[in-house]
Amino acid sequence: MNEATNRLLPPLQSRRDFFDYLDGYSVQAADELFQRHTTRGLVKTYMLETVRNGEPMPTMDSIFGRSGLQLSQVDGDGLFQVLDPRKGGAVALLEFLNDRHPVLYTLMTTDESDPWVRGLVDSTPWLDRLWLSARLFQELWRYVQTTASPRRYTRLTFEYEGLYEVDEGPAGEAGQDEDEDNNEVEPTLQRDDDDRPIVERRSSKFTMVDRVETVRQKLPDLQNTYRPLYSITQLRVPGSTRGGHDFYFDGKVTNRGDSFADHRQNVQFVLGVYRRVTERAESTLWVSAEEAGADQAGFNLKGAPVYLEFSEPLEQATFDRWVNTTFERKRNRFRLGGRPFRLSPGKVHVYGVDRHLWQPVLLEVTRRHIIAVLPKGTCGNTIHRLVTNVQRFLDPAVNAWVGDQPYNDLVDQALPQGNVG
Amino acid sequence: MSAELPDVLADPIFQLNLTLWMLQPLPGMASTRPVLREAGYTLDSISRPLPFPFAMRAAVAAAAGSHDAPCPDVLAAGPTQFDWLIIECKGAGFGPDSSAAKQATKLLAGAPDLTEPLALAPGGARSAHLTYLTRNDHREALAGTLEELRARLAAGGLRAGKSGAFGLSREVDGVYIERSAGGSWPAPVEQMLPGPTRVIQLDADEDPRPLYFIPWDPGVDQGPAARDECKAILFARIATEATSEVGRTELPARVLLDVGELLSRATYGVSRRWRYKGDIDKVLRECKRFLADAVAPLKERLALALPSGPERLEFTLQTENERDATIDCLMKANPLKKLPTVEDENQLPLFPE
Repeated sequence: MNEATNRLLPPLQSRRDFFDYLDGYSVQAADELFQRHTTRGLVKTYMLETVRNGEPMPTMDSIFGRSGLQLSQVDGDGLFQVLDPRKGGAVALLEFLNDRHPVLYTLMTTDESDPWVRGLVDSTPWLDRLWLSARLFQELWRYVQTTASPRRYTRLTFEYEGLYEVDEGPAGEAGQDEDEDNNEVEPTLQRDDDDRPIVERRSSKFTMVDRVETVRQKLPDLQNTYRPLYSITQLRVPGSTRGGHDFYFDGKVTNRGDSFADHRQNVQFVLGVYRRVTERAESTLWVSAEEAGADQAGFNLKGAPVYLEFSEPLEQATFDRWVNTTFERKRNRFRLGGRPFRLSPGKVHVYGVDRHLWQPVLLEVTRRHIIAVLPKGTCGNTIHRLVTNVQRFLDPAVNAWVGDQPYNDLVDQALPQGNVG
Repeated sequence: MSAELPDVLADPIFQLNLTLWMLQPLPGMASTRPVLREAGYTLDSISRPLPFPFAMRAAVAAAAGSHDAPCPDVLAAGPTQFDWLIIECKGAGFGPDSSAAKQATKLLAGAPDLTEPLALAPGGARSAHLTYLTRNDHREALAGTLEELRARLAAGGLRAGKSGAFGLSREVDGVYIERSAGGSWPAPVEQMLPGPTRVIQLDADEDPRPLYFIPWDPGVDQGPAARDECKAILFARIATEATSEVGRTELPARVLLDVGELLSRATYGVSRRWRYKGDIDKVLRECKRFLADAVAPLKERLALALPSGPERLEFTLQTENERDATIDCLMKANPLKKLPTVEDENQLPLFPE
């Protein structure tokens, strides 16, 4: 199949050349956006997770090589072109904005770039996406309220897809649709053919575009009225000039402003917030795991539980469908795998693995809660991924704890001092 | 109204894992309530040997038949100024003249001061309370046995630690724990457990088992059904550890899976404390057989070899496709599948023709 793209990066030589090109490209794209007739792909950034500090991992050449990609260093200072022979050349730039979180910049359209990045991440245990949970978005929204002019426009998207809910019919009926290759977001109302049943499930996608001050006034009441509005999946951070930067729950960032430098600064800022939260979660886990001290004449548990409580018990059919379409599927949103032990109708144990870094994980899943026991060394990104996907597909108002610490407390105060009032 | 007592509550592996959950950091409203943690106790160690001070050894040997170091199931560190908890799990009560009483006698004798057994700095005794966990209908009788053993130690000139028994019962809404009226209790335990206290919230038809941190112990007396189920969990954990190893290996490579190492990881290191080599060898061979059976469809493609001493599997992975296929086999392997027992091994080829 010919996958060639016309969104290749030009053959430039230096970091300065590339970033100037993306800056100029951003200005043109922003002009066209404001005139509402752009057909070009916007600059998009994909934020990625690797491993915790100090953990050994293969080289980036090797990791990208698993997907048939080649890296070509630019300037020798942490910037690489990503060459994809199937697409005819350089499709992205790879930069380490910090030593844990590389990012990819690309001009490909979303239709091309989303599956391309998904294929890359799925091909290796050494990469994961960033998972921005609703609570993290709340914190970023607090930052926007504090730093942006109240008259600037922002955009929040709230998305909840009851992917595992079935109104009627046997629980396993639609069990094929979990495969991510075939399904981005299911329509609320599926095919209405004469010979097919109509399957309805709860789905909410609500986008709010308004001035910062208006959203600040209205949002809390709306969230109290309708639970899916807790499930923030996208936030536009107003740019320092025109437009802004759309951050998505799965680590994608679209530059809808006219400055690539501003875009990159925003990405770097969010990466810093994310890293602080992740390392705080990891620290909480490992303190729990090693509290017995250094004397290990006996053996202690080198793991600690993460607890997610649903706001109301899952329907039995929803529970069954989720279990049936997740753990034994190679590709699933949670990146968790293992053979379920079905203990009783609403209770399953999975002694499985997290496909990011292939870490063993113990899971208890019931209609009321999820308990995950993460071993020492597990990347904190696993917690964000679990919370984010549960919130988006199972329960928008789920509550989470890392050990006995509320997840929300770990996220609180993640913004650097001086950024919020 | 009490629900019928299911056998699982009398299973020491269930009891051990429930004890570990009662010590975990969890939110107070969690379905599994960490009552010991809430009382201020934290997990110190599992199966930790507590060797007696030399000065005590002769007296302990006279009272308990030997002075070999006892290894209690769980040692929980207590709040400052209060006794730690030495916790033993028992499927049923026992009398003061039974074989189980010897272990209890040793633990009672060691409990007044753990300073030397724990290699703590001298100065100030570190005392502990001996707590047995059993089924609720055996609770008071077991507490009585412990009192009798304390009296015998005192008669022999040895100090004894305080003791008591927890009982587990299944009610319609969950599993409850209750401390014995007999014996005595540290104040934090008394305050946390004034009466029967629910430690696992359950629906009426819900299986009470929590996730098993420690799924297997060859020295534990279990019923055949519980034993099979626990072994299946152990196999699933072994498959997971093997998957992790295969997934993280840089290719191409000749992969060596050391079954002893996998077993240690799958039991949080506890397997290294199993005392009888025969037990360990048998479990290792069963785990190896399970893994070999799992990857048997690929044995020629991967040039699978099964050397022993130490037990291990070796195979070659050249490509990502081979890695994917191997992981697929490991993750789909059925841990409940009946395989020939180790006793049959010498009569059967590992891969039947």
